[in-house]
Amino acid sequence: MLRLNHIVALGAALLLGACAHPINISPKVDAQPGGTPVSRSVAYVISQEDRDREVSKTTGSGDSVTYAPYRDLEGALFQVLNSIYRRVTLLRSAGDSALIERNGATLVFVPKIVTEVMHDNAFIWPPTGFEVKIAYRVQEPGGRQVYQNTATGTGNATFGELQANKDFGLSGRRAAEAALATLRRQIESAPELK
Amino acid sequence: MTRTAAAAALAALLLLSGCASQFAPPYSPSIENVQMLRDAGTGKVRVGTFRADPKTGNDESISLRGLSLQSPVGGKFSAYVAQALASELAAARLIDDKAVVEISGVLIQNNVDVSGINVGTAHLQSRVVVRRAGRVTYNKAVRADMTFESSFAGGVAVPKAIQAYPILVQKFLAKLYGDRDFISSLTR
Repeated sequence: MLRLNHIVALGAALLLGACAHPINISPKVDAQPGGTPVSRSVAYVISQEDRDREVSKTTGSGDSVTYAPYRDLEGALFQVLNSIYRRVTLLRSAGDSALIERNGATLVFVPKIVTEVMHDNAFIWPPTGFEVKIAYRVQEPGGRQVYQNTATGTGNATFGELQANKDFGLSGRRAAEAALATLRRQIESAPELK
Repeated sequence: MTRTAAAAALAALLLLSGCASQFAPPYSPSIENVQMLRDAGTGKVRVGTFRADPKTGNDESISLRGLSLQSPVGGKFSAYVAQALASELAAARLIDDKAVVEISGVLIQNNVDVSGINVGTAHLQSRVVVRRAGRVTYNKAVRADMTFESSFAGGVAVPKAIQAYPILVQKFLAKLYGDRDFISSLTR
């Protein structure tokens, strides 16, 4: 009986194996800006190359998940900045001086997103743990750096939650939400960014 | 150990067979769309009711090789599109529940098709109506189409189709905002 169960488990794992599963980790962020925004216009940079870049990570059962962290966080980053500042502009290049000038941006945020996938179940492919790290520097339009920091968030999801919500990117979404909450606190408490 | 192995097997099989239905990913606003709205200089608006044509609108589910794709917003794709529109208007600081301008709509076509071997297709067509203090100022059917890389293998084709749905909605909204008549109807 023991052997039969192992064979079934192995068979199921093999059936699941060798697949690359696309997931989405877009966090849910309150879209409506709250309070009085800082009366500054700012910009943030996500290049088209970064936006299109897909990351592939191995998870349980030898499968892998693929996702595009910049694409999935681009909108939420805008919403966080938009809830703090009067005006936010997305740049595809930090050197787009025409767009910076047209929007009157006085600060340019340059984020770098790094993610890690964790799994505590060798028989299922959806990640049960995730880490999202947003390392960012803030510079003036001329390029002088005025601030830098890193906002890290972790997220977990149990097998039961993954099944019930049919949301296989849930741990990543939670990690991204936690990282963005930290990012918001850091920006709001930095005098250089007022 | 026997129990562990059995539980693991069951878990794996559940994830295989548990694909009878799945939610579309939550909508993430397209920042290009938000900037287009913001730069258009329109007045404040509110989002009214979106519903679907019961014969062609696929409001409750889209069939993807036997998997049922469902909306995470009230179980209706019409509500998903309405919420996507509201999220972009909100990010552009243009939403106001008391605004005299209201946007509503009816989904006419809403489908993602992965029956092909290499290419998937997706279509979203909706009639969009703008009313200013009850008077209709815009009434058009807007349509977005897209293709995406697919596969003979369902394990690849179906997840790609699921990921394509929010991108289809972004394209639909970009098409809507790109219509000068629509923007004019929102302008004070």
